[in-house]
Amino acid sequence: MITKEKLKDYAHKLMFDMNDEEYDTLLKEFDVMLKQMDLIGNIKDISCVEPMTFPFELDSVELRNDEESRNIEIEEVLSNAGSKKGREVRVPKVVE
Amino acid sequence: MEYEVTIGLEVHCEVKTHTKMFSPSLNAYEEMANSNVTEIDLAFPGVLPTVNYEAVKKAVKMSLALNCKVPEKMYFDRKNYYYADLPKGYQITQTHDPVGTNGYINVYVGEEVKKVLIHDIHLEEDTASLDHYDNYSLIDYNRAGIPLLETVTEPCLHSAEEALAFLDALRKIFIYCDISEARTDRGQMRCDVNISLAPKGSQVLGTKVEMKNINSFANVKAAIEYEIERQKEALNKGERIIQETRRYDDVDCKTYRMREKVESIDYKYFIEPNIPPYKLEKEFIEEIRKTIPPLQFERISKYINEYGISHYDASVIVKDKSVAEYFEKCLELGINPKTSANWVTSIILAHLNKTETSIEDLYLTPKMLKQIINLIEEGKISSKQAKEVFYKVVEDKKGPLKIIEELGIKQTSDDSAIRTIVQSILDNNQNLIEEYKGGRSNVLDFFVGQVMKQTRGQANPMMTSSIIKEEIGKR
Repeated sequence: MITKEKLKDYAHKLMFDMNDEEYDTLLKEFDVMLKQMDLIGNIKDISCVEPMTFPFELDSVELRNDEESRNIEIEEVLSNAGSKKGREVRVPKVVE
Repeated sequence: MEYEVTIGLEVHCEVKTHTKMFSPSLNAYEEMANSNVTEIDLAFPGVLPTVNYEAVKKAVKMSLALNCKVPEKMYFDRKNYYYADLPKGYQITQTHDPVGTNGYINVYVGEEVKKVLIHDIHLEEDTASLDHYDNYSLIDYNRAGIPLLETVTEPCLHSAEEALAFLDALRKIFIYCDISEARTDRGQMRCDVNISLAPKGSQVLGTKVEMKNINSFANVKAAIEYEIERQKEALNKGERIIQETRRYDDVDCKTYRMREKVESIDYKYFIEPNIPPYKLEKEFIEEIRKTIPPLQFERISKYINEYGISHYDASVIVKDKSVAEYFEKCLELGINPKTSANWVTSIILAHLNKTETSIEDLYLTPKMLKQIINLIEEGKISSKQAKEVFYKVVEDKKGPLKIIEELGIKQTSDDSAIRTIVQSILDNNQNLIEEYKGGRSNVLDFFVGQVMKQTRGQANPMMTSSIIKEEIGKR
């Protein structure tokens, strides 16, 4: 059972918060998701079915040779950063 | 009360490759911030990891060196957690079928042999590095994606000495096998220590305390010793040890609580779906096995048991693989093992340390060393002259025979020539002869010194000494 308190707890563990309206929206979304999970849960006789990790039973045939290297320009590296300082991405301080 | 200490180690070591584990950016994180980064390291949407072949080979090599079982297929797993140094929101690692399981290595703890059990070794990627300031942190992604090998021991170590001996042996394997430079001073090797104390004889382990990210062997030793005392004191007072993670502070040499481990964190591991499994063929594994050189433990044991060298000298020689190879080459050429060990551990290593050079740069080859030693054994030069020749050879970069010729070094073993000099010295030092006869035995050294002076060091010292005794006896 997902409750607003649980969502708040998860959000805080992930270090963010939302307003009440957003929690309500999320709660409704969870309702839908859990109903879908129930549908899957009702499927019978799956104990002998292997979990599907890969869509095809194929192995990698070749790995990447450790030869040529490349990198992207610093402008590109920082282009999506909300905040930056010098050549680095700046984030709020979170030290465990 | 007496307690038994139990320690398990988790050791991270960076793998020496040209590029990163899952991206083609350069494995060189000490350069300018964010200069070795691709969209894969930054987890841009839509990008896929590609596995570095060299890193896989080195991981298999290390697994074999640790006598581990190598799986049939190489799988990776996702470890999900959220932290700013992990751009994807998960780390690609190995958990359900790592590259090595159930291994062991033998290590010397002092002169005793200890078998250390390896729970597993797995290949994974490093995180970005964070620098913390007053109210913000900065992220450099150069380190994100560097290949790491994590070796996990069973809780089978029982003292700081055993832990250190294992770490040193592990480090040597990384270096001997050319898997990593394993430099702790550059943070290439980092260690988590799990430690618990239980009353001696107890079948149950005590409560485990974890110390994270200790970056030098000296600190591992200090942290373990501190923690043993702290836990002993607490247990003696009847306190309960709390399962927690502690941090070692190398300024005041104490450990501090970081967080209490209420429940283990659920990382929601699952098989990494973006990397199809890679079959580790038997032939591939056997080819890698062939590239593993004789390791430190094997070499020390052989030097002691087959060559009769002291444990101390053997340990000194194997510290550097190239030095061990040089030493073995000397033996192949027929130089007596103890003589070789003496030359390598005292004269050659002292010279390398002093000049801060490596044995690969040493001009004196094992073959040249043999020439010098032959001349000593044939009585043509003295040990003292041999040292002089050695220094001249490495300095002038000329062969020993050439140097001997140039310096005019030769040893006189001509009895009558030495005797004549001895007689004249004795004639002039009647009083010292009396002192010698009166028991001052060091007078003999003075006489030998005088002969050496007059012959410019060319008189055979053994012969000189016995002639002096003979001549004094006659007076």
